[in-house]
Amino acid sequence: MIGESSMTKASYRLLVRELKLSYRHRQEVLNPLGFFVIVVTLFPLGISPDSEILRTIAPGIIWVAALLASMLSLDTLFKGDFEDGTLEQLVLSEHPLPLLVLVKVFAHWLVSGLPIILFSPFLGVSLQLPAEALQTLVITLLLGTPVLSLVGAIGMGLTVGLSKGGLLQSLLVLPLYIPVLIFAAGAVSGTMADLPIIGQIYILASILLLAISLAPIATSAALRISIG
Amino acid sequence: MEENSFELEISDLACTRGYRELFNGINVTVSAGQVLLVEGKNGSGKTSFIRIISGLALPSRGEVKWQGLNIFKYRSEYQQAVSYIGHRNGTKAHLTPMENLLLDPNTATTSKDAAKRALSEVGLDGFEDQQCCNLSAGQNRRVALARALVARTQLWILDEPLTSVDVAGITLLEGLYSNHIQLGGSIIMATHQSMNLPANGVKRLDIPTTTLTEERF
Repeated sequence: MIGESSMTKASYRLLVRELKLSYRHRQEVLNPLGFFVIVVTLFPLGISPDSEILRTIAPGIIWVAALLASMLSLDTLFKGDFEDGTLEQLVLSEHPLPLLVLVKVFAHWLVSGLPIILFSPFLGVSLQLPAEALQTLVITLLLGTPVLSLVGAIGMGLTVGLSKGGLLQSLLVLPLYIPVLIFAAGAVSGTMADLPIIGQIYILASILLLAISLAPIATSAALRISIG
Repeated sequence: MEENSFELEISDLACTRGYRELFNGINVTVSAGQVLLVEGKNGSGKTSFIRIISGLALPSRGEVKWQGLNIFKYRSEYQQAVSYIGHRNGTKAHLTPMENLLLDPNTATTSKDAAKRALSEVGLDGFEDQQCCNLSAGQNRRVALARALVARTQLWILDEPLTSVDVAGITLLEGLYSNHIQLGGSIIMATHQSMNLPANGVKRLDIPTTTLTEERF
């Protein structure tokens, strides 16, 4: 049997490899962040610069933009690995595939989800969100964006073998994002209306735990189907 | 390599693609020190056979057993002992050969020295720190083999390992294969080219070309 230490070592090395590759593909990594910023700044131009209106729609805009950016960035999660054969090697690893998938998704979240969270307060300010709502926004993004990456990975796993899986993948994944969107945007709006939001936060946290424990297993099964 | 005796037992293996049965009833056993050359025309199912016994794809019928254990149930035990190199190398183009060996989750316990030694064994001295996208196709093939070397696995499963390798490279690889067999390892290889390997212990498996037998709608 394989020792636990070799499993930890393998996870660590995979994490380093993913981060190193992201660093060498910085351009690709920054694209979703640029997309996020641009989409959010388009709304005041298209709807109205009126601060009252902006404040009302800001939670929804920022969250929908984060959701789309996350989905776009997921495109790179398994595609490259599939093309150069490292995905085959991952599937044939002696270590449990769900663990390796979790490491990959975590690395991906570090370079795609985290920058979005760091940028979101600035965009919130530009959309006239009050300070306490900004705080809620960051908390919901911290709980919610990992769910987007984890759930999106399932869709990516299913479509990785298809040459034109892009649109299919969004049809598969976007409906699954709805619960996160409802509770997260609801919590931010709730803060502005002085309503208690702890319920939404708990629900988001439980969705996150559920996604961490189940999504890697589903993704592994999807990858095995795509490869076999 | 920890153990010296092992056995891969393939019984009654069949594979279907679409409505076409590529092969059926394949029975063969590979044990320590043996080479199995998988031969057959294009489209006969060599790659499908290789992918099944490596654990990537499921057969439509039959069993593959490693040390008596079904490889699709006892994946971890099997994969610890096996290296698979398919048509795709499984190396990252934007990492150097050194990084490819050291950051591979399957060879997590490799030391820097061992990786360097393996790269020099496959003839990549001086290329350790070049990104793989700057190396030739044949050199990338060699990086893939170096991965099998550092993994210290007993069974190598290779699909067309000589593609884009030059003449000198083929001689070098033949040497590495012979060495692996003499150390008690074994190799299953799909190839078109004839190779110079120690004659004793070489088995041949010819996969006949089947044709569409029957249209079913």
